[in-house]
Amino acid sequence: MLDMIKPKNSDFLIVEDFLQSECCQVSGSLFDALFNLTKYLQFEQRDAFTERTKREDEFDSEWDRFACYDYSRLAMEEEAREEEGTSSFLIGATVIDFSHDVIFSTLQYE
Amino acid sequence: MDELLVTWLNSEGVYESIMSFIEQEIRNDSSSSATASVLNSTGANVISSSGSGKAASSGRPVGGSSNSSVNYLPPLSPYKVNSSNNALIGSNTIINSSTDSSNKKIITHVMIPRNMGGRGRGKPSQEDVYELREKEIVHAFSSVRGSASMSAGQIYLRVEEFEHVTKDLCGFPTFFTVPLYKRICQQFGGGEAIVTLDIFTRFWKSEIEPFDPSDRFFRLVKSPGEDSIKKDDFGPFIDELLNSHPGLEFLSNHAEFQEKYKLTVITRIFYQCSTGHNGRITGRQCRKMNLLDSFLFVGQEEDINKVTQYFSYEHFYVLYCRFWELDQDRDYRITRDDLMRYNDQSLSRIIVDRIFDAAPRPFGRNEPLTTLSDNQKANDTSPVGYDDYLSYEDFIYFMLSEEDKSNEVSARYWFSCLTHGDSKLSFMEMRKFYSRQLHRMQSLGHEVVPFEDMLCQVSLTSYSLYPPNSFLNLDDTDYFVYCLDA
Repeated sequence: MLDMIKPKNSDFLIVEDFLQSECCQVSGSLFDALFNLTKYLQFEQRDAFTERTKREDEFDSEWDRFACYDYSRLAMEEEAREEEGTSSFLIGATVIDFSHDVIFSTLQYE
Repeated sequence: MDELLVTWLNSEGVYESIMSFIEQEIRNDSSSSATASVLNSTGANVISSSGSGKAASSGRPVGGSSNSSVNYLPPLSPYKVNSSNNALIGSNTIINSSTDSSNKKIITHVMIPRNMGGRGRGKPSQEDVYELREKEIVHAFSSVRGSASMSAGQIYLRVEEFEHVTKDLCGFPTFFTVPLYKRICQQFGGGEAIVTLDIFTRFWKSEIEPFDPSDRFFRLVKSPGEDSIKKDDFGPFIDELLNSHPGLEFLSNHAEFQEKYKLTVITRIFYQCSTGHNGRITGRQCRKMNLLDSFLFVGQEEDINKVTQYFSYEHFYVLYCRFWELDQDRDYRITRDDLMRYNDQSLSRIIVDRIFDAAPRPFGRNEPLTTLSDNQKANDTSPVGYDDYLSYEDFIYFMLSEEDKSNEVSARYWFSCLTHGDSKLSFMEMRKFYSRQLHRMQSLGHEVVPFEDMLCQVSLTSYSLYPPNSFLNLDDTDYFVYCLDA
């Protein structure tokens, strides 16, 4: 990872090391590895197919991709709640993550 | 490919959940079209003949002022309108939003020449010299109620007649009409509440002629006499957008969420543009981020969700709902423990602490809590300090950075957290962060990846492109061994 970042100094990194255009993806993975376990494990288990799907989809940025999937998840939950006639309080996190994964997988394998 | 599909279908719970989704879709026609429209958000157009009716029904009553004790979520975005109707307003503009591999939407504005000189300040457009545009300007004013005998001080336009001037003469988005009109009155009207040809001419010579489009925009948005745009300066413009944009009409009965939407858009603009994180946007930053183009684009695109920069309602919905999920006590603030729950406890404690202590905040540090009653304050021996909560705006900064780590703003955000404001991230510091991850891997029963392996593992993605660097203090042989093992 660090050989991608090509630090100017060998004892520490400075913020400019992260800003070179060719290494923005790598620095993202480094950040995840340092503090976001879920994303780091996802990164570890990624496969070429998922990566290609990602590269070829319509989104301009990681944020746009995330927001689109997360909106679908929230919208489905909200509509499910409406059907049940309950008020729009959020339900348990397990259900949320579960449906999120399903949407993700469905899109990936389409 | 088929094998992959079969494996996936056979994995635990997937088949059942698909079946239940299918049943759910069949049961509810409207939900299926919603899902489809969501999944195809920038692709297919779901034709909905009763678009507005459905929008109204989806905009069900939510948290009104009369019911402030109950916190609801904002309404979902209404069903997509058939965007083949998206006739661009005016014939002099072309929007070319490319969805191919290029990274940025290209917005070409033909009417307004772009002055991307590359240096601090753009040159004023030669064709906007008053004498060259005088005919058009006089015509715009006199065609409404003027006559040849009237003087420039007598011919005037009312605000509702001003749209053409805003858009075609000044080159601002249509929804800028009201704030622009007010500003001209305020700055050049000398007490008048109407804009006469005379007043407009003075405005043109002072605010249009000497500047390029980006500077005109900057000077209009900021308060007169200030040298930068501040948080509240965008307010009147976003208010007008909320009043006039077809994609935001369904919010008209939800004043509470209009406010939240406005705050979200403003914070997102500051996230991208205000690189100093000092609550100010300079004219230079405006030009660098093409802020005017983003405003022109949202003024012309009927599907608000296609405007992924700053204005998308869906993006607002996601940000707000995530905040709402975490803010369980509904005090509109996030504590450290709240943030620990983000995305199913995916963040380590140490980074959460750093987010509170060292991450950039859009509008400076929060004020210490003042909402505690005197009684509570007296009893509370350890009052919650200003560092101990994130406001909604702070949370937006966090979430934008967390969900997209591949851009400059985000890299700077996380770098500040990791270094606690220092300018150097040492090897030791990185080990410290990673050791917490190791601990969590262990306790969750995952295979433990040593620090050096982790570094190599990620670099393998493009190892062939870049030779190893001495940074790791490993010799090349070791490096190869690591890479082969990983």
